[in-house]
Amino acid sequence: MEDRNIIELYFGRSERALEETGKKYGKYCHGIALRLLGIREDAEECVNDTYLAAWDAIPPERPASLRAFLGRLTRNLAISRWRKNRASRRYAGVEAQLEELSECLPSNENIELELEGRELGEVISRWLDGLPIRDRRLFVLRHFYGLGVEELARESGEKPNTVSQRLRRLRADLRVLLEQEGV
Amino acid sequence: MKKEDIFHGVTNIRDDLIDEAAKKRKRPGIWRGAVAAVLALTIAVGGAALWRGRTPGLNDVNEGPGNPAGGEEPGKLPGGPAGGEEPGELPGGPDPGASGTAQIRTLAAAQYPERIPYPTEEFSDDYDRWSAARRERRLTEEEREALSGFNAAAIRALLEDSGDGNAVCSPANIYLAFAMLAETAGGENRQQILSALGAESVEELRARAGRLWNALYNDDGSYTLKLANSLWLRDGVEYGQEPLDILARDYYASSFSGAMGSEALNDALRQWLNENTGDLLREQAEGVELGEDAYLALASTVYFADTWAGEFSKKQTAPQTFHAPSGDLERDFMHKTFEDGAVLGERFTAIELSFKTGGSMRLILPKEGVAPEELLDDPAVLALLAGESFGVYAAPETFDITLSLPKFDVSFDADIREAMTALGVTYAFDPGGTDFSPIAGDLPLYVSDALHAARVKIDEEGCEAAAYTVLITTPGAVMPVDHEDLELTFDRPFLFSVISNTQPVFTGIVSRP
Repeated sequence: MEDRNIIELYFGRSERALEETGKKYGKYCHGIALRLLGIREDAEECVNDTYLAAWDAIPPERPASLRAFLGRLTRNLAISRWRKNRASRRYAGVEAQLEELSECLPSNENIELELEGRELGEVISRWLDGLPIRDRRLFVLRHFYGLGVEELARESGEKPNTVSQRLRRLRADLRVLLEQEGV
Repeated sequence: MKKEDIFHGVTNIRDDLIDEAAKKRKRPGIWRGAVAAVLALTIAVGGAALWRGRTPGLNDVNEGPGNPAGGEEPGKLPGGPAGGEEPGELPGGPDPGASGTAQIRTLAAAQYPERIPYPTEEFSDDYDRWSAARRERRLTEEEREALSGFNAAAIRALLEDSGDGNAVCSPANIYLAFAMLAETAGGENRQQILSALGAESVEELRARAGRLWNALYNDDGSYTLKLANSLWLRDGVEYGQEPLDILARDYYASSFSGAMGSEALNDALRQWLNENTGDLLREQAEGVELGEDAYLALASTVYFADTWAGEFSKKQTAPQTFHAPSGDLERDFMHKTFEDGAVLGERFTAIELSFKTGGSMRLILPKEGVAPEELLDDPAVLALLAGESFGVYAAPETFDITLSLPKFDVSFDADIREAMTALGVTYAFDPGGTDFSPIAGDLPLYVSDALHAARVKIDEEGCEAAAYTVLITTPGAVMPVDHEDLELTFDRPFLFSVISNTQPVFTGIVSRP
């Protein structure tokens, strides 16, 4: 079913919206959740929460890209789950992401970069715009979708080491940008 | 700034960047599911002679004449109460009931695969499990491809001669009945049936029929699409065991035996048909009769019911003129305005109405002056009727659609030997008899009757909505987006197709709603 038709189902308050969402994006959401949380059960709950959140958000929201919308919801719910449960459960994917992304943190402790998620999203988007498509995809696949280095290597036909290095360089590049933005 | 902030920043990158990365990877499957409500039955019979008193030809019940051989008293033997009002107790569905009578023996009752019940709560773990199981049963692209040739050819052959009346058939039901027939056939006879059904070997056909059965069958509490198969055997005959086993195991067929030509067996057969078609084809089933020399009968049924994703408001239903070929008719028209895609062909306009739980009814309105049958020459129309992607003809554009659609209850029954001949099945219908060795050894058999009956009803709530009412809220306030208007008034003969899991379960021409 076309995304716009699925969105119409949400507007019509038809529970079929959820079924169609599950059919088309269930695997997609599940992939994101599982890569972040690493625990099947929790990932499943997270995806259910995603559907619930989508149901609550649409309407009034009318996402331009349902895929991106659901992906964001899944990530937000996964990180809240991490925040809530981190004392008792270890979500390997989230921790790895945070660890790697900390490389992007401006090194100067004094820099107070007060950007909200949305504004920071704009900044990162503009940075991504300037990258060659290969690197842009690599970064999004690793840090938005949470694909593992092995998986990315298989997809690009490169060695895992090379992929790791490229990712490290990209993160360093982003840090430089954020330092500049923060000045 | 914390590392969590960066995580949030990445979460909030622009849509197109997220889409770009995903698109180069596996695209999420696009599935055009569908389902409407109805039922149909097919009987293919092998025997030296069967069902005398019916001549091949079309018989539009709505036109009145009914069954030419009619007037017979309903059977009075056990198993078929004269009034026929009582719920029957013959096996045939997932819950086999008590066995028959002294005259009728139930040899095997079908064991249907278990299904995960439709979750009662919208947001639950069960929902995912249910949804995953359903996805599992979906037909693959390859399987759909393999079925599409048969679907298009069958629809064409069956709807072509509708004359000025209505025509309805169930391609999926005919497919399953003839797949069972192929299991009983041998040699070139089997080969012909296989090629009509688009399969190279009987094993391939069996696997595909099983997948089709499982893709369509649904009785989990969401919508209803029930399929049932059965075999009717002659007492005292030794049948080939292998096809009997295969039909029971792979086609979920129940089997019964009794004295051919006896009222008891005929009553039991009619009762089985009525039970498995929700009593919608009672009138047509009255004419079904096994003659004294019948050797074997195969029966297959389908019954479907679902409600519209967006119901029609009863308040808006009003009488209007339908221009039937035989003259103008006054009919109740349902009305609805909604935003949706439509396919604008040179000679037709097509839209799709969704059912609540997946599945749809496609409606094809020929341009004025074009008869529905003429459109059957158009591969795009056949593809639309046969369940292929709605975009097969042209990318559907979005319109503000003002729809006027007559309520209808159309039925049709026919001997489909002629139609199946057009698909290349000839040996099986040769009265001289042919190779049915797997089931009958050296005894040559032929299919003396191939009866197909179907009926489709729609109203404001859905398709055959009688006992299954689920309320859906009508699409409410939609953000204003400018689209062109499209006014569609189905006030002249049109085509429709009820699609479930990409397969045409029912398709037809409405000339007299």
